[in-house]
Amino acid sequence: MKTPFERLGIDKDSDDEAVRQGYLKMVRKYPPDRYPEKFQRIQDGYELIRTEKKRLEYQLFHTEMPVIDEFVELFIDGKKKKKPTLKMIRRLLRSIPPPEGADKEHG
Amino acid sequence: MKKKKKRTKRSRGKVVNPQALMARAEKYLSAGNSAEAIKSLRKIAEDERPERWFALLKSAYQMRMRQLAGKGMAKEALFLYDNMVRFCRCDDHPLLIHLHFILGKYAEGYAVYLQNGESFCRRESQRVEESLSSFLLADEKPDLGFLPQDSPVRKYFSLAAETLQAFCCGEPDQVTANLKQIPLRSPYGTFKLVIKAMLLHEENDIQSAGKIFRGIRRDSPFYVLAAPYLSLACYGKEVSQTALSEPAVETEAALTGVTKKEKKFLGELEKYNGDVSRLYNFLMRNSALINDDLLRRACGLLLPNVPGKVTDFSKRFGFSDSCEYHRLFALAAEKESDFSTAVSQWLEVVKTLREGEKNSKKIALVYSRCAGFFGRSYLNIKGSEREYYRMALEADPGDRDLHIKLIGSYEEGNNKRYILINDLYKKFPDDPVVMSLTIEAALRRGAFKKSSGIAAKLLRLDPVNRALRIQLINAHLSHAAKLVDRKRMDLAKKECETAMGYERNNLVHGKVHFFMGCLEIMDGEEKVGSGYIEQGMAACGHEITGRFLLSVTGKKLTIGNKWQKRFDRELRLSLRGIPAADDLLRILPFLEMSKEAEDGWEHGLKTVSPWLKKWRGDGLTLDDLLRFCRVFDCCDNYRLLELFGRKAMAFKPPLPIAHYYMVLGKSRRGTKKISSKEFDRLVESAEIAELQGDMKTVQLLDDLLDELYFSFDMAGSSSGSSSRDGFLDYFSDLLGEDQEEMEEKHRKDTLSGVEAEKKKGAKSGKKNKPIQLNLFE
Repeated sequence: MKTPFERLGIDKDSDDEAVRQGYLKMVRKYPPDRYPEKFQRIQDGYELIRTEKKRLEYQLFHTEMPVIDEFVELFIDGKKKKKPTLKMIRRLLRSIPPPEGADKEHG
Repeated sequence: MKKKKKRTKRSRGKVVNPQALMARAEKYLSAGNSAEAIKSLRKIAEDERPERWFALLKSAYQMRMRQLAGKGMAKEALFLYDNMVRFCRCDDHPLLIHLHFILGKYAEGYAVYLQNGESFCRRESQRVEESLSSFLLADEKPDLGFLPQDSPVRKYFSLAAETLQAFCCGEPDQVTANLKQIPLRSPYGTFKLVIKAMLLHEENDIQSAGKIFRGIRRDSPFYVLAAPYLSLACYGKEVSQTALSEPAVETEAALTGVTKKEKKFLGELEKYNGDVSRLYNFLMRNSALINDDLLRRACGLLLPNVPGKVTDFSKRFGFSDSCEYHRLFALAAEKESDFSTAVSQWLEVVKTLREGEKNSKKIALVYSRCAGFFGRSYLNIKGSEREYYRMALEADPGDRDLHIKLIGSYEEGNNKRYILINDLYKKFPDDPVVMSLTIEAALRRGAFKKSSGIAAKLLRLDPVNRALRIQLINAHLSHAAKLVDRKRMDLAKKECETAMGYERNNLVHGKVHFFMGCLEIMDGEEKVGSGYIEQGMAACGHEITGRFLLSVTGKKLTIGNKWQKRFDRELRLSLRGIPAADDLLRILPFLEMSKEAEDGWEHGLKTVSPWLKKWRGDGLTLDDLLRFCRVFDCCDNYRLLELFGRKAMAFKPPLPIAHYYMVLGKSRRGTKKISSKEFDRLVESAEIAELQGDMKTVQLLDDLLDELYFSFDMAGSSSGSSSRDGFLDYFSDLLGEDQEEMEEKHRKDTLSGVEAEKKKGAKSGKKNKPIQLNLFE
């Protein structure tokens, strides 16, 4: 769903070096042990646009199906985000679940 | 009246066994139905209550109280607490304190804590203080008078409350300054961490924020602040939506900016994953919720998979240019394997691209893609494939890969291919890929000196390339063999010595030693030669393989009858017994040796064939079997090909290529008749290979079916008409012709064949044999 350029956080007109830098930046941000799926997408995206020829091929022939997770991400990216208000935070603080377990027998 | 009756019935009710009641209560508990569990347990008479009853009732009460507290019914929960103490003779102080705190009775709760403080472990005390801090922060104006002056909860409260206020008012500097004053070891330590992470999230430093959020203990009261953040996609959705409380869902909605309706839409999206057409319709139905750009993008990506929606898409969004329009149609046609439409649409794309500037590389790519369709096609229109590659190269002459693709469209051994490779080498003399290609081509042409020269140059660039080193050694040895032919023994020995110089870690398994040995023997130095041969045998490490290699080398260098007979005898002697899988695997790479050793290789294979035939068919993988099949296919050893192909067919599901090898062997490359059933099965295999996209195998099967067509034996066939239909369908599919046309053509062909047979019979004066008029009827 996201273009490889978006996955690597770079411009559409980026050259080989900019693509490489974008890839390295994203890999540092989303390491494979913590974000395996995201990392895989970054890796795949990089492979798709690594060279000028690949970028042209991508422009002409890409047919990948939209990834639902990425659609959701883009959908949310386009939304106006709000900061939690004091009222919200207070409601959160009041919603602490009761403690689990600890009980004592009466002798 | 009715009600009364019911009541009487119930009150009279059956006396239920206490064990059954306990079991029922346990069931209710595991289902989370605490109220019914309490009811069941309370029905058991006092004198019938076993020890386990107390534990069960206590669990049921605890669960009920937690559930009530979660629903905002802390008062009712507190009432139940007294019941629990009365019936179960036990208490749960942390729960009691929590209930007091929820009700805002901080002093009461704290008093319980102080009275029973000794029975609390460090963790429990910490949690009580943290939850008190949390509840106090949630209160607008809490009365802290019940807390001692030196209590850390009281000491840092106002600082924490101010921090919260500053965070919500968007004063990050104030927040940071306040947080610095709150010690980590105070009851507000976790609060400090969470607020820090929330601040980092605001600053879009997701990585650092995530690190802190993930480090918050789940049993900490302040975890409730981290949970809505951790449910966001940017933190990898570490907390699922279902685990969020109502206030957390509200906070998460604020953080994402997604409304309830939108959330429902996003939740339903997953249902359509994989069903392209329904997903397209679903997106269009909900277009009011999606921003236009995103909708266009998503639907645009779906379009090649749902070509029927192109008009709908065009009406809704229009196309940015005709290039985009034709591009989408071309991709849709490709998805449906309608390559002729795809090509015509791509040509339209090229037309549009030509109108723009600096599009030559794009044009080359489009032509190259079209060429690929012809290359992949089972019709194998090589002329068109090459034509498109040539057009692509006209557009972008500097594209090395295009040159290589054009070369690949020529069969190996084709003179044009060799010329193109040499031209390419002139253009890219230092390109390793081109160098490898040139080495291979030169080897195939017997230009060993040239190939060894380029290989040596390439080896300097890539000294650890094992395959290249082997290639280089073989090139020198083959050149040596050529020199032996020309009676230049001294130069041949020199070539062998050069080859020896490239040998590392026994790469060619003694082959160089065998060469040297044979050369010395031919030069009259039998003792020296025998020494080399012994060294070669030791380097090879496997008797059969060593003897095989020696026999092949002797034959290749024409060592003379005396020694050749000796080598062959020794090889035959080593081939005693039934071949084990290990022996076969050891000799396989040598059987696969390229045609560089042509004469000798076939001679060696002939010697080992009887031994290979004895193999019982165990211990080899499908891949190994197919490798053997390729070897036997190369040397037309049909009996072995049939044997190994049959064994490969035994693997489930049988591969079309295995079927091909088996029938190729059985029919002696299509010259021997096979039954109609076998023919039908072969057609099926071709269809399977086509479905699997294995066009190379389709091509092979197609050629074999062509051969077999003329020797097709229908005698005794019971499924004549189905064979006929399947056969015609298959060929009409292949050739893209109508079945009627095919039948007509076939009828004409058959009749002309009959006419020819009649004439032939009349000429020879022989009586005509009864001729089958139609093979299929």
